[in-house]
Amino acid sequence: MSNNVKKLDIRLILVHISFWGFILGLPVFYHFFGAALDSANYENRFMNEKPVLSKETVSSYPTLYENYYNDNYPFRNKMIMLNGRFSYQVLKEGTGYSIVGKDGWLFYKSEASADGINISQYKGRAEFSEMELKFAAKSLMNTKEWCDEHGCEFVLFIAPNKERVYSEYMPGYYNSSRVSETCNTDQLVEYLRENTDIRIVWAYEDLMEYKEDHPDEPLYYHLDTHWNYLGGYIGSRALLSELGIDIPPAEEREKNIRNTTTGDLLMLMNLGSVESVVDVDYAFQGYPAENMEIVSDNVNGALMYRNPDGDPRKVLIYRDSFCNIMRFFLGEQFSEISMVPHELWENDLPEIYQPDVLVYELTERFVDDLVTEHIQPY
Amino acid sequence: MLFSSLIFITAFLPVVFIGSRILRKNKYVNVFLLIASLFFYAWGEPVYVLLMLLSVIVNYFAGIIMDRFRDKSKLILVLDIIFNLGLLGFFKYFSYATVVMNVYLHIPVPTFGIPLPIGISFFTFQIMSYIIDLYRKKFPVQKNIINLGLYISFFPQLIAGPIVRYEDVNEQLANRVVTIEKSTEGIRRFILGLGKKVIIANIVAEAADHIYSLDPSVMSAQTVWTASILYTLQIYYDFSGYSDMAIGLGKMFGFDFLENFNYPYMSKSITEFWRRWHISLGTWFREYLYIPLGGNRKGKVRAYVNLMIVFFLTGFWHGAGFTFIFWGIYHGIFRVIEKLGFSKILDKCKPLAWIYAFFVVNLGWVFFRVEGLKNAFVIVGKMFTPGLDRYYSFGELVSHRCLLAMILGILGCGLIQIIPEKIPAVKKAVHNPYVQYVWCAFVFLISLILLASNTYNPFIYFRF
Repeated sequence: MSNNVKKLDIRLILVHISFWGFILGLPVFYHFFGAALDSANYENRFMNEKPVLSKETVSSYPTLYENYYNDNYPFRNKMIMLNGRFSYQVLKEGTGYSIVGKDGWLFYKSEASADGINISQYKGRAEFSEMELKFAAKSLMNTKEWCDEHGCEFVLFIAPNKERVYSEYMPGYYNSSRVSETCNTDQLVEYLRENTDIRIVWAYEDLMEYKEDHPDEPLYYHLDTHWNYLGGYIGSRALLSELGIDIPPAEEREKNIRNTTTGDLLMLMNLGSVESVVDVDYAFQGYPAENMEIVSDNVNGALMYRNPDGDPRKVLIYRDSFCNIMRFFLGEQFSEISMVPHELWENDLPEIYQPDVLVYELTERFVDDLVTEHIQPY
Repeated sequence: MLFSSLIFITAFLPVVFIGSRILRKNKYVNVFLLIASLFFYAWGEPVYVLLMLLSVIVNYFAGIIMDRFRDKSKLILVLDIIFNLGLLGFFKYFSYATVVMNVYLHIPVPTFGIPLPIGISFFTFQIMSYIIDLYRKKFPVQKNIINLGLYISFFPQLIAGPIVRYEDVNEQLANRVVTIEKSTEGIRRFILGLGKKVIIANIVAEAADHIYSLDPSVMSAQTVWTASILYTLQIYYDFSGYSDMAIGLGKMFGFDFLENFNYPYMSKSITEFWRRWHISLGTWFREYLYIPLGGNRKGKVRAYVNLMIVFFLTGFWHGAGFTFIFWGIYHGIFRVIEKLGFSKILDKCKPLAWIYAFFVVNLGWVFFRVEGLKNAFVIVGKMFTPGLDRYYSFGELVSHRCLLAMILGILGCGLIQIIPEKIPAVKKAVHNPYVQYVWCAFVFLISLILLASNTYNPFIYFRF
C-alpha cells in the first residue's frame, strides 16, 4: 500500500474514531464527571422518568422513553445553557418565552406560552367588546353582591404588566405595530368606575407616580416578570389605602439595596445567572414584622399570617404570584390574612373562610379572564 | 424516530452501524439491517409495523408468483398494484374522501379518522417500482425475502425517501462493499443533512408555523410574504436535509442512492425545477405513469394531457386535500405553458427567468402549506394588497436567530456554491479534508446543541 493511500486511510479512520468516539464517549465521560457540572433544573417541571414497558404502555412506550432519554441526555443542561447564552449575549434576544429588551431588561412573551396576553396589551391590540365589558362587570358585581350579603368587603386589585411600566425598555420592533398605549385593562377600569361601585385598585397609577419621582429606583426586576419589593410595597400601600389602612410611603421607609443575578425570565432561557447582569432589589427593614405570626409561607401554595395587633378584619385574597412580594407588607396589617393561589382556589372558600374582606388580585395580562371567571360560591 | 433526534443519532445509529461492521458479511448484515429497520419503524408506528410486514410478504409472493407464472404476470401486476394502491388509498385518502362526500357532495357517510402510517406514500411507490419493473423483466425476481424486505423497509429512506427504484439497488443488496471512503462520505453527508434540518429548517419553520397559525385578518402583505419565503426555505432544507441524511446513512451501510435535490431554487423554469426538486418522485412518475401513458410520443396535445395527469397525481400524492391537488395542477399548467413556447422566451433572459421560476414556486408553496383552498386564496390575495394594518412587525415575527438562518438558507440555495466554482483557491480550500473535517465537526456540535435545546420545555410557574 502506498504512503498516500495509508495516509488517506488513517485520516478516514480518525474521522470514524472521532465521530463514533464522541457519540459513545460522551455518556461515559458524563457518568464520571457529569455530577461536578451544573445540572440544576430551571424548567419548573418534573423531569421524565424511565418508563416501564407493559401491555398497557406498549404503544406509548417509544414516546415516553424518548422523552426520558431527552431529559437525561448527557450535558443537556450545558448545551441548553450554551444556546441560551448565544441568544442572549450574541444575538441579543431571548429564547422561548423571554424577550430581551434594552439595557438588559427582559420581558415575557406570554402569548407564546398561553399564559396571558401582555404583548397584545402592550401594543394596544387587546380590546374588550361592549358585551365583554358588560359580562366582566356583571361577573364582578355578582361577587360583590355575594360579599354584600355576607357582610364582606370586596376589592379588585390589578397589578400592571412590567411591559407597561417599563415600556421604554421594550424592543423597538414592537413599537412599529403598537397602535395605542392603552388596552383592555384601561377600558375595564374606566368602565367599572363609571358603571359600578366596585372598589378597584389599579396599581399602575401609584407605581407611575413613584417612578416619575424616583426614576433611578426600579420597581420591577430586570430579569423577572414580577415587581420587586419596592414595587410590591407600593402596590401593597395602594391596596391598604383602599382598605383604610395607612402605611408610610416607600421613600420614608428604610431599605437596603440588594443585588440579584437571576430571575424567572432568565431561567426560561436556562440561564440560571449571567455574570454581566446584576439586578436590583430592596430589602425593607422591619420585615417580616416581629409581631407577625407566619402560619404558612409557601410561595407556591397558600400563604397565611396573623398579627394580633393588626386590623381586626379577616382578609382572603384570590392571588397570583405578584402577591408573593406583597405578603409581608400585607401580612403585618391584619389579625388574619390568607392568600390562596388561583390553582388551589375553590369557589366555596369564601363561604368556609368567612372573610371580612375578599380581594380579587390578578396581573394585568389575565384581565380577559374576568369576563368568564368568578371566585364566589355558585 | 426522526433522524434529527438525540435518540437516533446517539443510540440507534451507533448500535446499528457497529453491529453491521461486526457482522461484515452482507447476508448477515441484511438480516440485521432488516430487523433494525423494522424496529425503527415500530418505534414510531408500533401497530403499523405489522402493515409493513404484510406489505413485504404480499409483494414478495406476488413477485414469486409473477416469475413462476409469466403468462399471468399482467393479472398479478394489476392485482398487486390494486393491493398497494388500495392500502395507500385507504390509509391516506379514505378519511378525507368521507369528509368530501359529507361536506361538498352532501352524501351522508360515516366519518372516522384513520391514523396515517408514516412513510406509506414512499414505501408504496418503492414497492410498486419493484413489481412493475419485475413485470418488465428488468431484473430477476428477488427470491430472498430478507433482501426484498430490506429494500422495502430500509430505514434511511423509509420515512421520507428518496424513492429508490429496485433496479438501482438490486445489485447492492447482495454485493455491496462498505469501504472506509464511502462510510466516511456517508458520515459527512449525514452531518451536513442534519445541519440543514436543524440549523436552518427547524429555525425558519418556527417562524413560518407561527405566522401561518395567525388569523388571516391580522396578516399584512409584508407578513404573508415573510411567511412564504420562510416556508420556501423550510420545505427545501427540511426535505433536502432529510434526503442528504438518507443518502449519507445509505453510504454508511454501503448503499449508493441517487440524488434527490439539485439546488432547485436556482432553476430558470418550472420544467428545470422539476428536474432538480424531489428528483426520485419525478423519475418515478415519468417511468411508471408519463411514459406508459404515451409520454410525448402521441402528439403534442396528448403530451400536455399526460403532463397534467402526472401533475394532478403528483399533487394528490403529497396529501389528501384540494390544496395539494391545486398545487400539482398549478405546476402542471406552468409546465404546459413552457412547453407551448414560453420556455423560448425564458431562454432569452436568464435573470428574469430565474425571478419568474422562483416567484411561481414560492407562490405555489403557499397553497401547499395553508389548510383549505379558500384560506390559501385569501392569504395569496393579501400578498398583493398593500396598505393593510401591520399587526406584527418584521422583528416580532422573525427573530435574529431566524434572520440568520434565513440568510444562510438563501445563500445556501445555490448562491454560495457558485464561489468555489469561480475561484479555484476557494474550491481547493473547500475540498481540503481538514477544512471539511472542522466544518462537519462544527455543524454536528451546533446541531447537537440545538437538538438538546429543543427538548427544553420550561414553565414560568412550577407544574405539579
